[in-house]
Amino acid sequence: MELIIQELVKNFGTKQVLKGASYTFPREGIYGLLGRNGAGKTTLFNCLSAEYPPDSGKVELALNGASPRPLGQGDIGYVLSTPVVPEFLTGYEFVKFFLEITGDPGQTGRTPDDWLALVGIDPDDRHRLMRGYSHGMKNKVQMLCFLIGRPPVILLDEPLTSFDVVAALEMKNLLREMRDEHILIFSTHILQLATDLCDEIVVLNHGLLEAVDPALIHTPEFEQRIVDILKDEGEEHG
Amino acid sequence: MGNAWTIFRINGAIRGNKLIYWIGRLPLIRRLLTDHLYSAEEGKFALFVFQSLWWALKAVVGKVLYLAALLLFSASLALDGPQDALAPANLGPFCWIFLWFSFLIGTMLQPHAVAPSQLKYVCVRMMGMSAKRYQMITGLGHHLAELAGFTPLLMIVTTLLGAGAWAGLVIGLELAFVRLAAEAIHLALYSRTGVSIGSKVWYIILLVVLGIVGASVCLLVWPQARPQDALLHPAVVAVLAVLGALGAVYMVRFPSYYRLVLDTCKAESVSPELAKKKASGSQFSDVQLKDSDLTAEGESRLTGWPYLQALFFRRHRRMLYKPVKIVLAILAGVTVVGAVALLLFRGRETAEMFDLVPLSLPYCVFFLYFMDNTVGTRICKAMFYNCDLAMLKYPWYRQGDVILKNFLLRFQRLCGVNLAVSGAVCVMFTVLTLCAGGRPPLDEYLIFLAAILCLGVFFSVHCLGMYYLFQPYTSDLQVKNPFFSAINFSVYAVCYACIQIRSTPSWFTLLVLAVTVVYSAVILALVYLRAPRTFRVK
Repeated sequence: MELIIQELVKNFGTKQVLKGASYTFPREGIYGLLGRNGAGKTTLFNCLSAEYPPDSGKVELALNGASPRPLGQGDIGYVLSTPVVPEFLTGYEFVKFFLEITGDPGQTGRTPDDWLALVGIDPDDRHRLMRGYSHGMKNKVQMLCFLIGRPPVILLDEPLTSFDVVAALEMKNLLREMRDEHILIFSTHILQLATDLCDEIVVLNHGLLEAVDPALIHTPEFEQRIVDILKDEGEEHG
Repeated sequence: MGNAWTIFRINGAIRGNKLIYWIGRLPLIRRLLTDHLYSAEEGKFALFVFQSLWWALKAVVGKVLYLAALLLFSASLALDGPQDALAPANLGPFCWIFLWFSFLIGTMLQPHAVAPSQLKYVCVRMMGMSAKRYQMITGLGHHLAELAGFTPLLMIVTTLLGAGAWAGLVIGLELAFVRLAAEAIHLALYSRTGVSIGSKVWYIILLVVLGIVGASVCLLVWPQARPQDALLHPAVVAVLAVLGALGAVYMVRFPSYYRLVLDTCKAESVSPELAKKKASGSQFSDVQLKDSDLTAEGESRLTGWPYLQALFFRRHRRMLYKPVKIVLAILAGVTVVGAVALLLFRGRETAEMFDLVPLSLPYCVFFLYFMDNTVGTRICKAMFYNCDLAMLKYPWYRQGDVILKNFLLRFQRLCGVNLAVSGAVCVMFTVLTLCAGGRPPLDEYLIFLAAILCLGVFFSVHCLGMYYLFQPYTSDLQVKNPFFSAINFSVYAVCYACIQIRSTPSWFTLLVLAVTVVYSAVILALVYLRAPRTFRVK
């Protein structure tokens, strides 16, 4: 599987956020997207998920060695940093409904209870209305949509920041389990998390995407290298 | 002095930034402006100075207009007919009105110390400036500006009215003393109750009503009185000066300015964006779910999309079905009571009256518009606020066939509710007509009933179709689609115009029938073709 981003441009008024960002995510795996505040990480995700269209450039997906094609509906799953779930439903009802409309694409045979247990939602909470769910619980339910729906590409905007330590570990394990079948791109400010979880790191810098040598990820120089790249940007902005 | 200059500069930066922001929103100009303009501090400060001069000019013009209005008002109220506004005889009436409006309403309505402001929020809450020092500096500036703005104009007015400039100067000073006393009263009230009454609607209304009534009573009861004599009496001046001085001392010694700022100066009261958001959110207050609505009982028989919509309507039954149940109960009551009355007092006249039942169709149009539109609008708001706002974030919910599938499921539900009301109206007319012994032409009567039922479908299509075609709400909960409001208003206007039709030929019934069928078909076709593109959160 390949996700190919070519010359993506997005402006807001006179402010250029993406200035021709290009990058090819060459295979399934977990990719960390790093960038300073306001660098355009959420804008990039919004363009990829067709929340709003880029001003120019294209995004293509090549599945199973086939030639690249434009992204279609169902190719991208986007886990928002602020989770949104229909609050008039219980967690169980939402998962049941979602399984029914998607038809369990992975043919896992899991029941709603199985899925909810997978992300650590207690039996008592499953039949509570999501209106009363915490931020972290809503995030887990939102994540479940992508675990069930299995879109080839999953974007996660700051996915683990709202979790407690136990839930964060559970979620990390879940992402690791998914890495062989999906391109998972997640934005984060936490370098530790990126090095811990990611196969590759991509930096969004000056509106452009820049790869960091994967060999560096687990070396002592990695942190300094990232800080140098991001500081350059900050100083030029300043 | 340092703090005063800091406040002045911060005010300059806030105002300058706002001005640049608004200029940057103007068409054409916005292409020329970049965010770098915000860093041009000196330029921004110059903008602020110019803006301040402009506001000062506007304030003076406002005061001139205010005094001119008071002069004209007092002159027009003279008992022996309208007088020349600048005649010396107008000085007394003018002073009465000025006393009530400026000394009472003006000073008690807008106390500076308890009014929230963005500058106060920034300086005290965000930058940690001493709340007392801030209040002292800005309060002094405010009251001096008011004194300097009002007094020369009052001196001109009293000169024109023949009392001389001295009278205006004294009244101007007295007003300043009363302002200080009023500030102290507000602080004391806050200190006692912990509440700032200056922002309460009931207080504002009470004060304005009291001022108008007081001025009117004084002008009517004592038209020949000379309040200026009292105002200019040295004893009165001395008393007011003492009250002003006591007020000033109280303000200087007031110990709880920081608490006052925390209580009165909250983010949503000083930020236009937050205030707008709060106001927008409040328009959805009637469709917010209550805990009692959220019984976790399920819909085990259904699956997929019907399951989702069934749960939605089950949990919104209070706001959807309760008003309908009330109307159905009223219609049932009218039917039963009417039937009994008609059976008891049956006669030729009532029978003839009920021969003409189809003539009531225009009223039915308006009644059904009122009922169906109220329920429809409310449920569309609930759909957006409690369901679609979240669900439209998921790409699978935005797929064309899914949108249409949900539209049809919702349409069935809404149609069912509206047809229940239309059906009840049909039953009511039929029962009453039979009880009265009326014999309207059968074909006409059947078309009349068909038209009533069609109206139920029509208003369901209209409400839901408008929602899907224009989806007027933004993620900030604001209505941002002028067409949505315009079309809704047009439908209201047409329905209202119907009840103005005096003689109702049978073609009106046929017209209603035809319009409802054609409009419903057109809207359904438009929804089918366009909703997959238009049904989005903006």
